Amino acid sequence: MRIPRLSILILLFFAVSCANLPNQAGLVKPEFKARLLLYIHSESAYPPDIRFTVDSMALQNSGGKWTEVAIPPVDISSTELSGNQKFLAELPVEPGRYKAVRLRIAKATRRGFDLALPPGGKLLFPMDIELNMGDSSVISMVWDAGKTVGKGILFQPSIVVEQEPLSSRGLLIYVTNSGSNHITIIDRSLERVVGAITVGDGPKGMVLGPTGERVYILNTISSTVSIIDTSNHFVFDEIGIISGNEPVELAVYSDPDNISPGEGKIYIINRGSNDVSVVDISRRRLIQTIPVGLKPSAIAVDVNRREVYVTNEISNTLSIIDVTTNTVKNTIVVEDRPSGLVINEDSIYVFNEGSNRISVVSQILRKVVRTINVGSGPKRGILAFSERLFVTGASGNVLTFIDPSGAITRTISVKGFPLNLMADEERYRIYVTAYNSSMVYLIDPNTEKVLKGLHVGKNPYGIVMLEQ
Amino acid sequence: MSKRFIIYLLAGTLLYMSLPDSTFALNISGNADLTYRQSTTKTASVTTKTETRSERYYINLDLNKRLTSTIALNGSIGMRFSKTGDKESQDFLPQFNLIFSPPPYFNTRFSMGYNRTETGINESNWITTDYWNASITSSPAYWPTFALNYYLSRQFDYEDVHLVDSTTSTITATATYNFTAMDTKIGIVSSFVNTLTEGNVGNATTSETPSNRSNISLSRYFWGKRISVGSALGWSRTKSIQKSDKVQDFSRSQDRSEGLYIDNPPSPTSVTLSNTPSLIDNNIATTANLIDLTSINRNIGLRLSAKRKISKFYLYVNSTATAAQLGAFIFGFNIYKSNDNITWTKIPTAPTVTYNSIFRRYEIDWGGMATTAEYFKVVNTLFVALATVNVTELEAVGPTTETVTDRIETSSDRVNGSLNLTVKPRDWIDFSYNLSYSLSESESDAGLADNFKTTSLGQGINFSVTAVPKYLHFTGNYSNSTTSPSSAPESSSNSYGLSLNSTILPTLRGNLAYVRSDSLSDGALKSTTDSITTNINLGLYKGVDMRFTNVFSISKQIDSGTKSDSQSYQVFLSARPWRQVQWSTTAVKSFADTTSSNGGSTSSTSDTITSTITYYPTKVVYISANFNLEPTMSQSYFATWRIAKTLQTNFNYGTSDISDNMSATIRFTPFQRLTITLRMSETTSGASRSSDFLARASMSL
Repeated sequence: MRIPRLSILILLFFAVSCANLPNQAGLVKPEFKARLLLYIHSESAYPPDIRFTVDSMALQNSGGKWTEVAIPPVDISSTELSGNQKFLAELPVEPGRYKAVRLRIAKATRRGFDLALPPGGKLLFPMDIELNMGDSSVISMVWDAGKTVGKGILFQPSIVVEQEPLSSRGLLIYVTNSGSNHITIIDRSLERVVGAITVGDGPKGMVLGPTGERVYILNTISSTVSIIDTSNHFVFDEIGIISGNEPVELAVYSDPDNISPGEGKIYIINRGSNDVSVVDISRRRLIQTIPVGLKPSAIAVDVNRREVYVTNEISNTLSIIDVTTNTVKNTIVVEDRPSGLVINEDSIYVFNEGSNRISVVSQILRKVVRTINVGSGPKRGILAFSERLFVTGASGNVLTFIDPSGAITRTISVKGFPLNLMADEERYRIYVTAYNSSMVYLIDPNTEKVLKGLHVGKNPYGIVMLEQ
Repeated sequence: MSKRFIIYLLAGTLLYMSLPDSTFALNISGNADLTYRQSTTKTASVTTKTETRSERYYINLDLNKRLTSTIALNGSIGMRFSKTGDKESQDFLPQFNLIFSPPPYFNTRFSMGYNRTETGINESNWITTDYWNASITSSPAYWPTFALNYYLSRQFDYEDVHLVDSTTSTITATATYNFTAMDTKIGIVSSFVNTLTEGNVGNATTSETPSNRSNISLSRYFWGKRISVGSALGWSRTKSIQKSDKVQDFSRSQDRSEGLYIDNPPSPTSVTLSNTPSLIDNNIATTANLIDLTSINRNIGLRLSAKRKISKFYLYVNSTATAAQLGAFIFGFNIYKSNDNITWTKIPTAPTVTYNSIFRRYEIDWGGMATTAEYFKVVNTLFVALATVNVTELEAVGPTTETVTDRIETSSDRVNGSLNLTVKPRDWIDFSYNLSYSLSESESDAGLADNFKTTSLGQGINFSVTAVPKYLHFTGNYSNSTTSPSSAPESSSNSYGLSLNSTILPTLRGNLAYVRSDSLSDGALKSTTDSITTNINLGLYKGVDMRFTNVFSISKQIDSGTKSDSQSYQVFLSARPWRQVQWSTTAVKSFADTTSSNGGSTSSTSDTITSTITYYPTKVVYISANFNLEPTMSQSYFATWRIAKTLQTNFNYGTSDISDNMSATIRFTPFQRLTITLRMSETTSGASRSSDFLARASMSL
């Protein structure tokens, strides 16, 4: 079949369809208004034991109009909040300027004794926040627990409501929330949620661009790639990718000799159609589709070798794609259900969820040169802190610590389907997204313990640390 | 054709958009990127300076149209211009996708897309890359899911003789069925994939890789999910068919239009030979026009149907002489050529003459001087009086170029299976076992060396026991993998691991791990490695942690008798005295001794000491310093300061025994869509010094 004829046929079909059918709205998704994500934290190191319960909330806009927002009751404890952050509510709101938030307190106690509440239990806190259409914004309530009780019995908490200014780029972490359509920004120096960015529907895979100036997010439901400018944390561009079924993960290749942040190719794995879509970033479009094995599950790129690696969960293989020709140049058999991979120097670590083992593939020899027993359905992993391996066993809700020798030093429980990991080697933390919860857990690689959990959006999936 | 196509496409789209009833979701985007870069390198007295300016502009129009409630069309038309130095290129980029989504109860989706790029490589030639994709997916409830994908991409140029011309098509068909029967989750997947690539520049090449795969997996829980059993069985067949055309010369009898003859002319170089049809009548039984070789200067020739290259005559004869006599006769043949049957030129090389007794012909070969002409003749300068040798036929043989196809087919079959068993009888103990099997067989037309069969078997056991909750924990594992290729000895490896983890105090934790691994070839032990790792973690003070690691390892190579011992000690210390400050130091000392079979030994030691300090005095300032004290001394410092939301600066400085480097970057974003970047860097290494300056402005719509 000759291409030009097909083109003409499509154009004819297009014209006829348009001529005979009633006009309808374009393919614009339903309007998303704006979203407020409300958190509370306390910076008191040794606070008095004060607890209170919030059972209702209202926002006042610049015109003075109050909007009541129903929330499930939230219990807040000063001792639990010390050094931690608690999520209060996600509020869908109309765009505009807001000047106050009002909490209704159901109950407040100090060391178990009731405190006197203000009339109606209502407390008013001023703020000054402007929300544009489609914005997601994190509002922090900073509670000074030491200044909470007045006249020995009155509950008069000192709370400042603010939209925290973001720290320098290198201190921030992005988390995709596939159940919400936004990215959560975590400050790794403060270890709390400080911001949010609205993206497309179902954001899952996420990678940092080669220059560090862009982050690429795959929106699996809207079939788009959102490109975020990491200096100002806004969606710089959105590219449609109408190809392939069930896109889940992506990788970005940019010529190492090319310094421009807007150049390169995005490789997207499609689990449903068993292929990889190649999107040219500067041209903003799909340029090729490369068939790989059955159920591609993870993807990574090696810029220096100019290769892309894809694990295929049903075929039990690793496909190696040449980025110059965009063809599969090698297929290496690994073990049962390879679900994730990570590149380290001249090796690729493939996490075989079905066989409970990690296959170490030599990039030079193009074969499996070593296997490491894990025993917990390894799904994803990272190498960090002097070649130590950290492996999530999602189905078993565990995180396994493995020494460079291959010995398991500990397996700990991490609730909620732990999935993707990120290492903060400067501050000695491992961050793990728990897909079936709304949490990102912080883990100390030395003590091999969960330190705290940060509440993010629904179904957190990908996580990346920004670079300076 | 291509440019016309684009113009029609653009015109049609714009025309439709201008119709009063048309409703589109439109989006215009674009960007401009201007870069200037200057690099200077000074080595001794030589200074090299390069300047590069580049410009890139791109504009794109996105169109989204829902034609009916189930059919939608989206697409875009983009144009790009880029110039780097003197090199310019421009692209036109139309792209369309048609999406058909029936109501949800059909669970079917059809989409078809077309994507085309026209890249101008010079004023006269463009390269077209176009790409079609079509897919249909159907996943009705309670029934298997079917997916069919087709991709076709083509790249070609507009030269009369193509410099670029290739086509690749891929078809993928997949059926997936997941269901539960008798409390068992069952998944079945079957697929067919075929990729066909054709290259049409020069010699045509074709590559085809059809493959079939099927896989079934089962999993089931027992005893309140305390026992989990999973198994999988897969089969695949992959073929690779490579075809390549090559041009080859073959000796073929050439078409003759006239037989020619004349006896003893005054001069063989200036003569017209008479038409003698019996010389080319394919009758080798009858003497042609009573021509014999009983006298010299018989001019026996032919006229070809056109000018052709000839390298050989077959002169068929009929004689009473025996074959041995005929083979011994010498006629002193000379070969002449002509393009008008008047003027003849002698071919200078004397031909080689052999007598073929089977075909009863003299084979007069001047192959080394194969030449092109319309008329050829052979003239005898000697004659034989012993017997009569009559000429019956003259045939001309020349090289004919023909295309032949090489075909190599390789096929590979694989059967694989796996079994997993996990048992957790109590909360404090769990156990898992896994087994995997794979049999691969390959066959190839290329030769027996490519025919092989490989069997692989792997198994692993893991257990984990919490002896004292929160305080004492054991883990152990064993794994074995064996590979038996038909062309090499069987190889296998074993790994045994045992570790003990103990939390003695909330601030004191340790673990001890032993790992033994060995490798065997054909059942004989080849190498062993034993290693013991000790980790101790100490919480010295709030925010101050220490980790001590010791690894002791012994490796033996059985064949060579080499033994290697190594030890390493690592101390890691981190402190976070304030929230804004983090300091960490890692010190590693390693020893290695290797003893060979002849008693010789070598020893080596290495030390590594690194330290990092990070400091965040405010949210907008970030400072870090890295110090390497061993094995070589180097320092690096990094600072970033976000002066305002729209202005950020970075500074780097590094120094070592080999080189010093420094860089500074300013990034200014006066408004969201415009970014201006200035970067300056300088590196000094010995007598050479290089500097780099970059200025870039990027603006987007």
